[in-house]
Amino acid sequence: MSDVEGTAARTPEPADGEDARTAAAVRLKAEHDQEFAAFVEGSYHSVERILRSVWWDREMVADALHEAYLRARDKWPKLRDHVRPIGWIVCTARFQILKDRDRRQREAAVPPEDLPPAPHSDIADEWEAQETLRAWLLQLPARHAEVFQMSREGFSNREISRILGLTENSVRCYKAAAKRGLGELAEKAGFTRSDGRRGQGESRGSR
Amino acid sequence: MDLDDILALAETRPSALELARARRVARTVQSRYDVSLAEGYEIMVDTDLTDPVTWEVDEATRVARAAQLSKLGTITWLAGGSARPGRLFWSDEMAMIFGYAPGTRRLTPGTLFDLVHPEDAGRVRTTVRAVWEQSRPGEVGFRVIQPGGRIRHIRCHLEILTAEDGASGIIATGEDVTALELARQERRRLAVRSRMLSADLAVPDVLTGLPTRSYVIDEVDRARRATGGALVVVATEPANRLPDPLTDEDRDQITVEVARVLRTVVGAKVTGGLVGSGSWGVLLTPADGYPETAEDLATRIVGTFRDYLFSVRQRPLRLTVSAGVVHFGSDVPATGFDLLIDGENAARDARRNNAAVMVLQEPVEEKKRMQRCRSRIHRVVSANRFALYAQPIVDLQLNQVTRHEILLRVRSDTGEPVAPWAFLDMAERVGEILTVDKWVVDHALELIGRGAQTSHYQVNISGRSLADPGLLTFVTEAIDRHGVKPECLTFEITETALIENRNEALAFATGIRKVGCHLALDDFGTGYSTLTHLKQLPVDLVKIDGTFIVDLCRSPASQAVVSMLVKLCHTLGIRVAAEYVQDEKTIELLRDRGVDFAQGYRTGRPEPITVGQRAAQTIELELRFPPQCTALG
Repeated sequence: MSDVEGTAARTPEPADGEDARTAAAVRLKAEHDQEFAAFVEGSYHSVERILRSVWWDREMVADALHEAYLRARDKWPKLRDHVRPIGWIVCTARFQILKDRDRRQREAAVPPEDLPPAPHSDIADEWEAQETLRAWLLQLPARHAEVFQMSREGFSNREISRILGLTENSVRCYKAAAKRGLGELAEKAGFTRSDGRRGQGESRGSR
Repeated sequence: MDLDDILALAETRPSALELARARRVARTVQSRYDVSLAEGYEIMVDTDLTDPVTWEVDEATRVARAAQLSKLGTITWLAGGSARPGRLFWSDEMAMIFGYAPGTRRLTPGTLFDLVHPEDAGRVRTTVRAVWEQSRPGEVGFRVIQPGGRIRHIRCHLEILTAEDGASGIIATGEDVTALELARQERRRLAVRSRMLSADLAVPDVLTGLPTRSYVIDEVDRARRATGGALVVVATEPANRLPDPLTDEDRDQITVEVARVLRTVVGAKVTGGLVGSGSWGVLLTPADGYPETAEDLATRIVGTFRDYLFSVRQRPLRLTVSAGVVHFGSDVPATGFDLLIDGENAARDARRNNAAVMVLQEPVEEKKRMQRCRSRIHRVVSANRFALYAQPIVDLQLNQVTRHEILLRVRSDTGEPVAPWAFLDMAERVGEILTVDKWVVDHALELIGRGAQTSHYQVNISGRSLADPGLLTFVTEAIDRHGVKPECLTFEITETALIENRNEALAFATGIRKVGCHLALDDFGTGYSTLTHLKQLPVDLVKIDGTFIVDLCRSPASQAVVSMLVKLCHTLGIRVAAEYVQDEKTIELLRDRGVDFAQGYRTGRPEPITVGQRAAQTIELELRFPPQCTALG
């Protein structure tokens, strides 16, 4: 965190005899800076995964996240009291993207062949597993994918419903539907669904 | 490996790289924040700062607020109970999507459904009811009619609202997706279009796979407008007689064989096609960069064919071959058709002089060419160098042959009957088709009159001949003279593009039907055959052009054309026939689509006409009539 200290060091020294409040503010800011940096580091990949389960465009997601985090830093003194500040980030970045309606419509008008390539049937490492999962999620209805990814990132149904602006009934149904949809996609790609566990030997045998 | 394994594998701690990226974001954000502090500008934050997770408010408000933030509209319906009446209201955004100013319209379920497009209202109602009864979210797309009559596409998510005492209502979140919907429709249309489009302009000859006469003519025409070049025309004809006369099938087999040999001799790079029965055209242009001169190529082709031994029914067959070469500059007035005629004539001259190749350094004079064509036609007609064949036509409803088309064959110099299309093309272009048509009508009716008249006969007449005011009288007199039952006759108008005088054509058509004959349009769907003919001419039968039939099983586009043509014709009270039927599958398809008649090699090849019971007595014997019986007489 040398960077943070550096920034703090650049703030002008309080004048002698001037109030110690400035010094306290500086200290508080440094504390918040540090806290915020840790928050970004801990939450960034999670939020990114949630957003990218719906939007393929990595740059667009990165831009929206940048803006959201900047706002979060500005309002950090307030946001740090939230139960899970990450929820606010998801909300803000999401609305940012959704509001950009023209762009979204263009994106949806892209013909299917421009979508990510179909995943391999052979998944060797974590990265391939993630890419496969992402490609499958993008084929699900957006709401299903979002809910599913958020639940994977450890959000409860109640939290998801509030962050995404859905009813709790919907969250429950979408989660189940997403699971079902993924099962079908996995089966189509030559894997077995998680239920049943049949035919496992065969699919292993091909490797 | 199953889904759970994949999910588990994908569930990883962020990698070192990902963590580094997160740190970089943190640093960038931090420094931008510090800059904003130092420079004193404010960061705009338009989102609520309340913690979304702890915001205690009822679901309807929450969902509506989220929709508003992402610029979506909502319609909320709260179920009534014993204590309170039901409520239905929309957000300002949704009101605007429906085309109303916010707050100007009170909603009831009845008025809301009135705004939905009547074709979609039922579906929307069913979906909403299903969502409510099964208590699960749903999605519905529909059209709304705005106050001005404009129609917009809307897509809504329906969600169940839950209060303490269970499901309490439905909230619909939606947006105007007209642009998306149009894009989707356009995409679907383009996909269909590309699937249906057969991009191949040069529809090859069905038999040989080589370009057709009209394609070669067009290519020659293009060359004479651009670079100039040379046209080689090769004429081939069986040289020795086999014990049995050649059948139609044998000739086709020879044609295929010749095409194959020609292709290997010439190579694939230059345009070469079948320009007539036993007549082959090869076009050389400077752009091709062909290693040989046209003369050398012609000599080589002739040499190869003369040495080649063909085999028909295990018997050897040699061909008489000769070639004509026409050189033409880039500015000659002669058209592609003219140059082809010159080439054919040169090839004929070469054979007459027992030479292999005859070379013309430039096209023949227009007048001479015309004269030669005319005199050739007159000579053929007056010498009766024709034969009439009949091809059976199957009624697909009864599954039996009920009709025959009378077809013309032109005898070559050696007496071999060949398909007449090149000859007819020439006759049409030099304006002598009427002479040929009259010959055909007269002789065909004579043969029919001598027979038992148990079938229905179809006779061809060119669209160009219809311009002759005397044709109707000629035909009706011939019908009387030969004692033909007029109800057994259909006149097929070929080359409808050449109908010059529509009034005269209509007069003939009306007149011939008054006599009791039927009228048909041949080769419908190609060239300039227009739908107005169906409306204006009293047509009884339409023959769909063979190009739609030969690829019928493979081409969804051809199937669509045939289906719709059948529908159209039947609506207009016209029966439909298909030519070029080559296999059983096509017949099945045609029957399935409601086509009335099928004609082609599958149902029967053209055979020399036999009169009466004696099968051996063919037209070839019958044709030695006294000259006064001929059309020219």
